[in-house]
Amino acid sequence: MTSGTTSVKGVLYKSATGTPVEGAIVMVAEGSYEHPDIAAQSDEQGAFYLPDLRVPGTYTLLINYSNESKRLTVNITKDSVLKIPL
Amino acid sequence: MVLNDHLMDLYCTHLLIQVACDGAYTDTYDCCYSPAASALHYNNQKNEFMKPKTFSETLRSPKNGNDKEPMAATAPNPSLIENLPGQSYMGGESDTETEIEHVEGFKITKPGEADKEVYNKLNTESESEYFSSTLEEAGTEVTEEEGEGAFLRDAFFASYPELYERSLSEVIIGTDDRVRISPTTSFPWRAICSLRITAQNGSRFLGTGWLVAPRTVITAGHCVYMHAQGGWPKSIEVIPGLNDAQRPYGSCVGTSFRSVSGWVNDKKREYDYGCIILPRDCRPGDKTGVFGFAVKDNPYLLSAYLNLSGYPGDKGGNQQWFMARKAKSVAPRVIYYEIDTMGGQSGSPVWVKVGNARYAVGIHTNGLITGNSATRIVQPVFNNIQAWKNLGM
Repeated sequence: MTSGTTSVKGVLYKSATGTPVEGAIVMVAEGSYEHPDIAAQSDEQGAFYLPDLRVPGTYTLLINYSNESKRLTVNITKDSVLKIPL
Repeated sequence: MVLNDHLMDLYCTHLLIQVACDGAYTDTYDCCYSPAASALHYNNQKNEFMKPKTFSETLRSPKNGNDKEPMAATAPNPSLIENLPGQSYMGGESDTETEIEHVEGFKITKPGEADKEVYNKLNTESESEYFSSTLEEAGTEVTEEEGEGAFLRDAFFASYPELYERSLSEVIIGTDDRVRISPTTSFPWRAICSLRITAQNGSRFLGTGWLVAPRTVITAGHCVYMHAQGGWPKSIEVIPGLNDAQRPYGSCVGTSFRSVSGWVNDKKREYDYGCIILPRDCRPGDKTGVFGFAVKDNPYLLSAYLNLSGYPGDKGGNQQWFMARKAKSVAPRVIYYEIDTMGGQSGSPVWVKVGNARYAVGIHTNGLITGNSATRIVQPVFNNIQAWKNLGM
């Protein structure tokens, strides 16, 4: 598998209803590689983008939403799309 | 006191002369006139709440940001740690004459052009030549209403009495934890801005920036040019001194951006810096004061305490958080440190405090468990920031 950087797309949705979660803040807390220290915000479709991540790699994401937070570790490849229930 | 342009010019000039000519600083400051520095590099090319990343001394050293020169590590102490309000803690030309084929979509930066300015528009700024005779640019601090007297110096030194004497000689050791800045209405905190970025494709991001002129906000290159999101953003809302719901200096929406070829065309980490030029009718720096910036050598950076403050996403993105530590290592164009950061702090100032003067020496851009890092302000970066400052006067 070739390495490089990619902008990873993710989608946040409520696990109970399947509706998208807007306004959540998503960031890389830890990662295999150096990453931009920018935070992404999910849109009305629950979509967000984490730019310039070196792939393949393992990253721990931190998601802040409605006074709650969720942490998860994901393996990211060039074509990854993250679908994350909250 | 709100300085008008003329007064601010005079003030800056005075500070520059004072610093540049004061013999007491000659050991740590490059006070000499530099013909190279005076050549302005400017062109008109269009174109749980979890704990933050923390570190251990046992971890391996970070990668060098530039393979051409080795990183340096260690060093005396010239700088002060910031006082916190209400806190107890306070490349050369080719030898061959070759050309690059013109292929649509292919761009390459010629040697020596990585710091060449690139921008999205040129409609609201007055361009004028500006020549540098120093590698320090003093900031300005407008009258303090609350002052930094709110800093609980006594409380800090009650805990660390052994540091008191050393602090007087500009040496203070920090702690491991980030500290919230509240209120944010004193300098330098009010000159640090939360950024609400709307990318060209509509996606949204949070970042941080800092004022160097009434209308110029310095930040990371990846905050003003997002390769995978359509390039230049649609807009960035700049909120100086944001403190939860409070916006003590209002906000401005910027649509005029600057970065450099090394970032825009080549996406090189070492050139990850840029700026926002705010509209003419929005001049927050008149009220907040502005950061100075400077080029410092390796020994200085390795001995100095680096201050970093910004708007981390793990705290909701509406609060300013600060931390200070010494640099872990330096590369020709990158500074590595063990200052905890989180997403949203991209673009934060990394500065040294010397007396009452504050000089940014880096622009925070990247996170990594073995060392977060900033784009280092070296001479070409300094020259660009100075030119951008001039645009925002």
